[in-house]
Amino acid sequence: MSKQNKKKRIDWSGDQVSAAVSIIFLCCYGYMALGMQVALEVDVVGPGMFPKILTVLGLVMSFALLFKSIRFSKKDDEDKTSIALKQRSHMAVPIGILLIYALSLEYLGFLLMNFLFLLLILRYLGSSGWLRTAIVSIVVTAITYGVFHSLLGVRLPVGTALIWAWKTLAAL
Amino acid sequence: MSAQLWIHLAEGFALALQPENLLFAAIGVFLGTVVGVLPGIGPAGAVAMVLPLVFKLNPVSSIIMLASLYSGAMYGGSTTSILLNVPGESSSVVTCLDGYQMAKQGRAGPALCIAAIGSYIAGTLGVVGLMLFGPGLARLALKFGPPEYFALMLFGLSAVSSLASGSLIKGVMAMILGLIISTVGMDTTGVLRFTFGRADLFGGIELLSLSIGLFAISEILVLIREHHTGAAKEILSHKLFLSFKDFLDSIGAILRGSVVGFLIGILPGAGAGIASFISYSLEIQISRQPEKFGKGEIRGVAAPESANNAASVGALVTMLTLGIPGSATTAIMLGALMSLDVQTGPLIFSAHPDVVYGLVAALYLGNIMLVILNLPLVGIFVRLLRVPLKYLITFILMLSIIGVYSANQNVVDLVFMCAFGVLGYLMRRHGYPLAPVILGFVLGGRMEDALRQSMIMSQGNPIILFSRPISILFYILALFFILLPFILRYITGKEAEEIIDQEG
Repeated sequence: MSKQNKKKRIDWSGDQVSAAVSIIFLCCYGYMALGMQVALEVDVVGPGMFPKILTVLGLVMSFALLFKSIRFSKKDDEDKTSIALKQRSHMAVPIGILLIYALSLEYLGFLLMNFLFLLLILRYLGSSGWLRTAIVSIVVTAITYGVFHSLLGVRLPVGTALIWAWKTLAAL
Repeated sequence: MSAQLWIHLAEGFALALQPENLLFAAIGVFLGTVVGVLPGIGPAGAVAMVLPLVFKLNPVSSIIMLASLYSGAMYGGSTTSILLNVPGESSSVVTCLDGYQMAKQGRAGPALCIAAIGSYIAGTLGVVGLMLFGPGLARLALKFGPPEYFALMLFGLSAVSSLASGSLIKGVMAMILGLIISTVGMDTTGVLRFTFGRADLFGGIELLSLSIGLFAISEILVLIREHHTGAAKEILSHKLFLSFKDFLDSIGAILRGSVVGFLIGILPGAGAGIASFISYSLEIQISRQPEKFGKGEIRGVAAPESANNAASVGALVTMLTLGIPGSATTAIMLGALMSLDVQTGPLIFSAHPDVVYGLVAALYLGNIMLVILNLPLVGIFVRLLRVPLKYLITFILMLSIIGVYSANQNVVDLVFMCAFGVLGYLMRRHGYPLAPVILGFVLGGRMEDALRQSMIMSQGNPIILFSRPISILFYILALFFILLPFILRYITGKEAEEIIDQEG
């Protein structure tokens, strides 16, 4: 019996988890909205009013979902509660590569980072051979840079670290 | 119609049909389509890009080129939405819902064709509307005060009942999330909200980070999962062109989308994004098979694509006749006109008939060129889907990164794109619809401003929101739209029960 109870407590349905997360998030959001000060005297509503309305509406909906999911819980939902470890890695690797790309873009520049990004993501997706993938990555990066930077005038970062390294080398 | 109008129109066509102006229209449509296809630059960016060139031309040629570029960019945005689920701007988010599903079913060709034909018909009807009803409608649009805008935005939010395909509660929760995201940044009174002291967030969350993250990145995560588990389906055959039946199915949606889009486009600040959401919602509400939407229904592409093009013409009405730019693009165009010594306002039709009727003719010719240039490109675009999945995924990721980065040259936007990608993936898994998030985000800021201005007008009395006839009309329509699915479900449920009873 106690084992069953324990299992019941752990096996939250996806809807229950998302409703609980929403409630916690909305409480934090609403709390921040409470502390907002009016900047202009003429503003009778104030900057916090709209977020407060959204908090109340969101909480009503979250509790409704929680109630509905408890009342009409389906077994199918339980399968969606957690994402399997293997699936999580499928999500984590590309997102990780994307994040590294994003955070390094301004330091290392578009040309280097895009080349590395293409190389890693293509290899991760099953492209065969490092050399072949590297050549594809260089060609695609060059074409993309040409189209966006040279033709369309989109400013792509050169890389502050690369500029610093270049200047240091030139000074030597 | 007065004879004078026909004479001016004939003069306008004579001007627009001059070889050099035709060339500028063709260049404008082509450049606009190319720029529209690439996410991040958008119609406003495209118009801004050619401004230095435009200043060197005469007023008629320059306005012809700008208008053609604008139409091309509005259409081009649909291509990546349909093929790759990458919406370039808010007006093409709705196109993703059914367009991408059509592409997955091997019907990318018909989706792209109907987007081009719908854009053409809507653009043409918009031009007729601009010519015949422009000044009168623009004056009517001025009667829209903050309470009416608030009601319109609330009416727009009622679209959530049709966008929430599974659970209405989840649809509303997704919409509230969009509204919450729209509150991040500096509000209209200069108060910083939910920025955590970060200067990157003062301007709020970038629409492209949200839309590309939610739609494209989450789709990539799904594709990668399917690629690794071997569940990814290769689309072997692709229908290239539209059948006559598809066209007949879509024509009603195109006409309705054109009218809705044009009327919403005239309202300053409403924009093509809202027009596409409302027209899509309207199609679902009046459809006999609403369950087909979101699963590759051609009317789900025809309606929003027509609406966003008609809205772009509608926005020109307000710009020309009142001097009020309804969007960033029309603001840039207004600036260009002013620098060319063309004064916009109610007298523009008599003071500068060459510019106005030249523009009308140019828009019409631009729409024809849009179809001529883009229909042959459908086959080339569709071939993109035959690229092996690993290259397609990489291409979409790279396009998303450049698109989001180029909007503000800010890496924080890229970090948000990743975060929204994960959020979108989790929302999909738990049955939350994604489109209401964008709906809430697009309408949120304007809705809050309208609420605040209304309250200032009435010194805090909320009755002002419910005391104007136009507002009341929108509230009734919103209530009708929200309740309609329940009424229909009740009626069809009863019918089903009766059939079961009879059969039983």
